[in-house]
Amino acid sequence: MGILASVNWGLLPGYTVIGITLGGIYALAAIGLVLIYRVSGVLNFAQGAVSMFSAFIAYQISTVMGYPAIVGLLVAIVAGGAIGYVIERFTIRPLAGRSALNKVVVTIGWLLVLQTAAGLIWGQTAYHRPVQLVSIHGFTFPGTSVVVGWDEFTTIVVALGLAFGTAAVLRWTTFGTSIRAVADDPDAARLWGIDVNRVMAVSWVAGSAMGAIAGVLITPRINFDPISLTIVVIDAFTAALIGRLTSLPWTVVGAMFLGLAETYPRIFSSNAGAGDAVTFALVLLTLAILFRPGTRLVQRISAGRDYVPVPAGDNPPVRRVIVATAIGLAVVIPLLLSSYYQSLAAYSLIVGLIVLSLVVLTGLVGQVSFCQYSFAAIGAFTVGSLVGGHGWSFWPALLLGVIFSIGVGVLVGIPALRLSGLFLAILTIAVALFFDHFLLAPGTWDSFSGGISSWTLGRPSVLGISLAGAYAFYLFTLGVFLAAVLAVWNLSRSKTGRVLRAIRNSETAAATAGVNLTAWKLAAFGVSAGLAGLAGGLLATGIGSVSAGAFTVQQSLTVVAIAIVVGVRSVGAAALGGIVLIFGPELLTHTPLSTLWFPLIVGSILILQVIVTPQGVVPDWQERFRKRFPPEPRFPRARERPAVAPTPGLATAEAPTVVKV
Amino acid sequence: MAPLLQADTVSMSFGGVHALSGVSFELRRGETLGLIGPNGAGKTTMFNCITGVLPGYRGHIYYDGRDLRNLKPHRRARLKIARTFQNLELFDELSALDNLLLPLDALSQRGVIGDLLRLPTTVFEERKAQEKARSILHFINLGDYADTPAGDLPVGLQRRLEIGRALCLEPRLLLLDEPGAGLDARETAELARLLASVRTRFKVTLLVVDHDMALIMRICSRIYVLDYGRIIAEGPPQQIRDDPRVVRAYLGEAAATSVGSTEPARSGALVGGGAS
Repeated sequence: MGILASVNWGLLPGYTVIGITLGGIYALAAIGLVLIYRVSGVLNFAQGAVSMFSAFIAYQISTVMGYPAIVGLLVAIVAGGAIGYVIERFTIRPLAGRSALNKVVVTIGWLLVLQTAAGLIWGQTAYHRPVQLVSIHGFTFPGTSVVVGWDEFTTIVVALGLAFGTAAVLRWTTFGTSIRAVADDPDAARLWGIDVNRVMAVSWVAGSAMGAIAGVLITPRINFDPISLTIVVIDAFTAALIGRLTSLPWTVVGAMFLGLAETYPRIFSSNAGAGDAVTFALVLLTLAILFRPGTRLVQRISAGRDYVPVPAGDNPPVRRVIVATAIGLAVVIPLLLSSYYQSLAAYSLIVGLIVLSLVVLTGLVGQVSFCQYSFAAIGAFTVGSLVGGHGWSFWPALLLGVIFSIGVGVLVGIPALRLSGLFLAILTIAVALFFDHFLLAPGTWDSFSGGISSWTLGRPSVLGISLAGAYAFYLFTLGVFLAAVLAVWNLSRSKTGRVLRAIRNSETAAATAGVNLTAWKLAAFGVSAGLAGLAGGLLATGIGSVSAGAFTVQQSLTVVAIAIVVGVRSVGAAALGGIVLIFGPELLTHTPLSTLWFPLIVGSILILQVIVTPQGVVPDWQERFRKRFPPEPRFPRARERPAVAPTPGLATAEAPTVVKV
Repeated sequence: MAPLLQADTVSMSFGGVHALSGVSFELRRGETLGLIGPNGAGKTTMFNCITGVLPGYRGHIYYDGRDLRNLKPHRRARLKIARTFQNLELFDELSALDNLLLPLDALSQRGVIGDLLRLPTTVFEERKAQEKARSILHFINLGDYADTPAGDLPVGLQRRLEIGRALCLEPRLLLLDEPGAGLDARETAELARLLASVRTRFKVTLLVVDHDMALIMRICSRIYVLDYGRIIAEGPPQQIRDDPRVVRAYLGEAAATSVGSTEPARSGALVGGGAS
C-alpha cells in the first residue's frame, strides 16, 4: 500500500518510548481511579479534573513563582490529596446508601467546578509552560540507537513503582486487607471493626494524590490547558476498564497498550484526532468484550437505587390552570422584551428540547447520556450542510436531520444494551469526544462543504409567515417546544412510560413479564436522540450558522447537570432547564462575574442539590404543591362494581407501615 | 397428551459449581407440581433456565412440545410462561395497579408513535387494560392499594402482587419461586387458599419451588426433590415425606439413620418446618 511505503519505520522505536511513557502516566491516573472505585464503588469522573487542578498548582509554584519543580510536585500531591479528601468527606460520604449513579453525578459536578475554576485562575486556552521535573536530555538505550529522555525514563519508573507499590500494599499489609474488605462488603467490614470511613477517606486521598502525580507528569506531553487535562480521565477509564476496574496489573498493561495505540497512528497520520479515535474504539471494544450483563461487576454497580415515590394521582383542574397561565405568560412576556432577549428566549426553548431529551432517557429509563449535544450536532450539521451548502429548503433538511439523529442514537444505544448505568456514562463520553475531536473536527466535513466547516443559512417561513423576526421565531420555537412536551408527557403516562420505568426498576422482572428490553431501550435512545437532533436543527436556523464549537462534550455535561438540578423526571422541568442554561450566563454578564463562571455555579449547585433534594427542584415544588392541593383518589369509582369477586379468606392487610424514602 | 413442560437432562454450571447436573422432569397439564430441596439445590437456577433469565444451559427444555432454547425471556413470556421471584422483583416505583398493567402493556402491539400522539386507539386500549388489571387487583384483594407504590407495600402483599402480575400474562404455566418465604403462618394459609383459587379460576399449571415443605405438602399433587443439582426423589407428598434419601438431603446422614440427631447438616426444615 502506498501509505505504508511512505512511512518512515525508523520512527518506530522512538514512538514506542513516547507511547510507553504516556502509558505510564495513564497507568498512574487509572490506578487512582481503580483504588477509589474498588473501595467506594464510585467511578470518579473528576479524576482528570483533580489531576489537572493539581498540575496547575505545580505550575503556579514552580513556573510562575519560580520554586524548583520538585517543590511544585510535592505541593501538587498534597493539594490533590486534599481535594480528594474534600470530595469524599463532604460530598460522597453524605450519599451513603444512594445509587452509584447519584455519586457519579456529584463527581461530574466536581469536574465542572474544578475545570471552570482552573480556567478562571489560569486561563482556559492560553499556552502554559509545562512543569519539567527532569531534564529532557537522555541516554542511548543499551544495545540500540534509541534515545530515551531522562524525563521519559523517570516517568516510566515512577509509574511502574507506584503501580506495583499500590498492588503490594493492597495484598500484603493489614491496611490493604481492610481496603479489600471494605471493597467487598462495607457493612460486613464495619461489623468486624474496620473504620470504613477512614478507609474510604484514605483511598480517595491516595487515589487523588496519584492523579496529581499523573497530572504533573503529563503536562509536557499534551496541551497543558484545563480542558485537555480533564479529558485524560477517559484514557484512565479505558485503562481501568481493561483491568476490569479491579486488577491493578491488568490496568497497567491496559494503560501501556493505550499509550502505544494512541501514539503509533501519529507515524501515519497528521490528523490530531486519530489518537482520540483510537481511544474511542478501545473503549467500545473493551466494554463490548469484557462486560456482559450478569457479570458480577455489573451487578454490583446496578445494586442500590434511589427510591423516589411516584406521585400518586394528580390534580387536573389545578394543573390545567397553571399550564394555561404559563403558556399565556410565555406568549406575552417576550413582547415586552427587546429582540435580543426574544432571541435568547427562543434559544432557551430549543435548549429546553435537549433537556427534554434527557427526561426521556434518564428520567424514564434511568440511562445517562453525556453525548446529547453530539446528537444535536447531527441535526445541526445535516441542516447546515443541506440548506447552507446544497441549497435545500429547510423543512426536508430538518426532517432528515432528525432521522439521522435517531439513527445515530439507536447505534449508540446498541452497545448500551449490555451496559448498566456507569459504563454507559463512559461510553457516551467517549462518543462525545469522538464527535468533538474527530467527526466535527475541521477538515472532516470538507468534502460536503467544499472546504469550509461553517455554513450560513437563513430562516424559513411557516404558512407564509417569515420567521426572520425575533418574536416570530420565538413563537415558532414555543409551538415546537409545547408539542414536544405534550408528546413526552403523553409518552410518560401511557404504556411506553410504564414500560420504560419498569425497565429502570427491574430488567429481569420486565423481561419475564414479556417486555422486549432491546426494542424498548433502543426506542428510548431513538426518541431521545431525535429530540436532541430536532433541537440541533432549530439551533442551526436560529443562530444562522453552524460550526463545531457549539456542540462540545462540556455542553453535554452541563446540560445533564442542569437537567438533574431542575428534575430529570419531570416533563415540566425542561422549560426551566433551558431558561437556566441560556439566561444564566446572560445574567452573569450583569454581575461582577463573567459568563465563564457559569459551569462553576452549575457544578456547585449540582453537588449541593444531589445531596439535599435528589429529586430535583421542580418535582420538589410539585410535591409541596400537591400537599397544598391534595389530588382526588383515582380508585373509588372503579371500586363500586368489581368485575371479579375478591378471593375469599384473604385478609386485606393493615395500612402499609414501611415507607422507604 | 404430551406434558406441558419437559426438562431433558438440563445442566448448568457457574465456574466450577454444578448448579444443575442432568435434571429431567415432566410437568403434566393442569397439575400442581412441587420442586423442593435444601438451599443451594438448584431450584431457582432451574426456574431461571425455564424462563430464559439464564441463557446457556445444556440439555433441552420443551414447552408444549417446543424447544425453548434460543428464545429470549420476553418471547417465553409471550408463550404464556409467567413467574414470581424469590427475592421479590416488583417495579417498586410503579403503583400496584401499574405493576399489573405492565404485562398487558408488554403484550399489546401498540407502538411508541401512538403513545406520543395519544391517539384514540391508545386511550381505548389503555381503558381496557386498566379494567382487566383492576379485576386482577380485586382477585388478589389489593383493591385498596391501587395507587400505592409497590415498594411501599408490606412483604406479604408484595408477594401477592407478584402473583397478580404473573396472572395478568394469562399464563398457562405459572412458576412460583418460594412464594411462602418470609410469610408467617396466617399469611401462608392465605397464600395456600389464593393458589387454590388461582388454579380453579385461571386453569393454570403450577410449578412451585420451596424448601419449606409445609406449603408444598398442602397444595402439590406430586413432588420432585432436588439436591446438589440432581433429582433424588419423585412422588406424591406422603411418599416424599418418608423417603430416607430426602430426609438425608435435608437433615444429614445421621438423621436418616437415627432420629434425634443434634446436628442438621444443612439448613432447611422438613415436616411442617418453619419458614427460612
